Amino acid sequence: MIRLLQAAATLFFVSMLIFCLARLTGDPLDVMLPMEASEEDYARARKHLGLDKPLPVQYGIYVAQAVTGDLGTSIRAKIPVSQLIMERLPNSLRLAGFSISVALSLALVLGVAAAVKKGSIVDTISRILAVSGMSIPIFWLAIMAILLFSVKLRLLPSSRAGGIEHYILPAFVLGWSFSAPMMRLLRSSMLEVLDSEYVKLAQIKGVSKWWVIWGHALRNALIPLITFAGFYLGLLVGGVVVTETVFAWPGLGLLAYEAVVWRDYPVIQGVVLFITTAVLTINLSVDVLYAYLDPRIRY
Amino acid sequence: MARAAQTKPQIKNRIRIAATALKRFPAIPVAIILALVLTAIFADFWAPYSPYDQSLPNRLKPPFWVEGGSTEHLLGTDLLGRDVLSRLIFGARISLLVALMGILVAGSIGAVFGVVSGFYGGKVDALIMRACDATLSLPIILLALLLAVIFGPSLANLIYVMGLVLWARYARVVRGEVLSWKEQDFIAYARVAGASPLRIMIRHIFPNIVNTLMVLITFQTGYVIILESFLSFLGAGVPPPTPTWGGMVAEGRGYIITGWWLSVFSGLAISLVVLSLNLFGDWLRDYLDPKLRQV
Repeated sequence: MIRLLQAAATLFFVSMLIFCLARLTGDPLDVMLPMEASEEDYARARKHLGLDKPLPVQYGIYVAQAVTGDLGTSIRAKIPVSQLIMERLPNSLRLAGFSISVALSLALVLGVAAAVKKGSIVDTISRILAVSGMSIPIFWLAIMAILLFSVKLRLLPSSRAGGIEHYILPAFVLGWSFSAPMMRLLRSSMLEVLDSEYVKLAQIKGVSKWWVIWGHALRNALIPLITFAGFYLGLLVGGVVVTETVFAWPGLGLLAYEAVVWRDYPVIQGVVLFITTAVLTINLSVDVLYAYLDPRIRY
Repeated sequence: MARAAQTKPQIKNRIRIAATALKRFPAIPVAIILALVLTAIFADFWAPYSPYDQSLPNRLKPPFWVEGGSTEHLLGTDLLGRDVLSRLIFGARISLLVALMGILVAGSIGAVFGVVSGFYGGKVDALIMRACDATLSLPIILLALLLAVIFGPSLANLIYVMGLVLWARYARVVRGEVLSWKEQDFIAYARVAGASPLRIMIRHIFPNIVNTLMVLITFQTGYVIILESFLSFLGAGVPPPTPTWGGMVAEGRGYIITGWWLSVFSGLAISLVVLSLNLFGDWLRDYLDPKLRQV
């Protein structure tokens, strides 16, 4: 219950912040109206868009509408923001889904292998992959991947959504950099678990090595990963935005970027509010699930 | 007697720990970071050309080892015939400046709020932590992009944006540290001795959290460099013609077929510097504060 109130308070804070920020971005009419527009044209457009009312009133209207799922109408595209978001959301989710699968498989295989064969060549490779994944900026990695696979080798398409081949480059670029911190965390927690009494007991009891690692140890080594789920989610959202802008992937990130460029207030507000609400909701559910899974934790 | 017998192995142990730490000292990353700092400070001295001098007949010249390139422009020239190497060298200055100043702003805001929050607790704490939650749950890149567009692209604004976006991390970490130190006996003694809250915070608590701050700062420097380059890449960072690494990657983006060197070298520079900072941060964390290892 307390967690719920906290989340609500955070959400209020965020909506206020986004509202103020969006209003500060400059006058959208400067971008929308032609250069030769007169004062009256400005006044009429302002009235039409509801921008002439005092700011607190605008905020009130905004919140009342947002609660009912109405995020306003895009100033540029003239369609409801919620509709724009719903059009783009599946693309972002699919990209995120593919990237998470790539990242999880990489992190699981390499993280566990690195811990089991500590100091071996696998450990070194996973360390190199992890450290470079954390250091190389995603947008540059994306451009280099396009240069290599689309321009030089002509194997994969360089931009836009489409068939399965369109997913490979963005999903691997994002997946790699997303898996890096997970790989490190999994390695260290796995090392800790492998050193524990119950793993040793399982070994003494004659459980096969394979099952000790993947059955007994991994399950407990995954707990820290869930603890940091919120952190990873934030990382993923940022990564999706970056990847989408480079690959011209028609998702929420690209929508937000275009909205910032066009100063399309309702769209920026809508997208950021939507993403934040989603992140908060998921974090909250993870907390609840976590407390349920591990009775030692109570909020 | 007994005491002397106990301390001797302890001292030996300490020396051994220090020796292993030194053996693991990341010499190459530190050398790269030092090289970056020197490059940035003495950019005028190293750069063969001015980063702004255009020469249209010499545009899009490849690096010297590629056919058509010459040793006059070691890493080639860009669309306007400017020397890529010189722009890289001056770009180091911008990256470093934004990173250091941004962290100074974020670190100061975060440290002050964190200490206050942890020390006073109660309503102040709740309010500051909610603000932290809100900032941390915002998609940082979108927020930075939004702020950069609001304030208009300029160097100073970029630094403020970094501060506004990144303060919450510091506040959280500092608050946690303060909470654990606050209950220590020496703080109670200081209080009994009549030290004011401000004095306790500055003289007694702050020195104890410097190590944690140092580690966080090292990692964040790398992150800020990446964030800055991404904003410049999107055109929301330092405006052209000032040379920035992110901006150079962006300029080369449309020319990856005819001028791959435009974005390759600048991206390599970013990656190398951030990599060095991360490796150095790893070492620093193990050395100063092993309990942070999990994070």
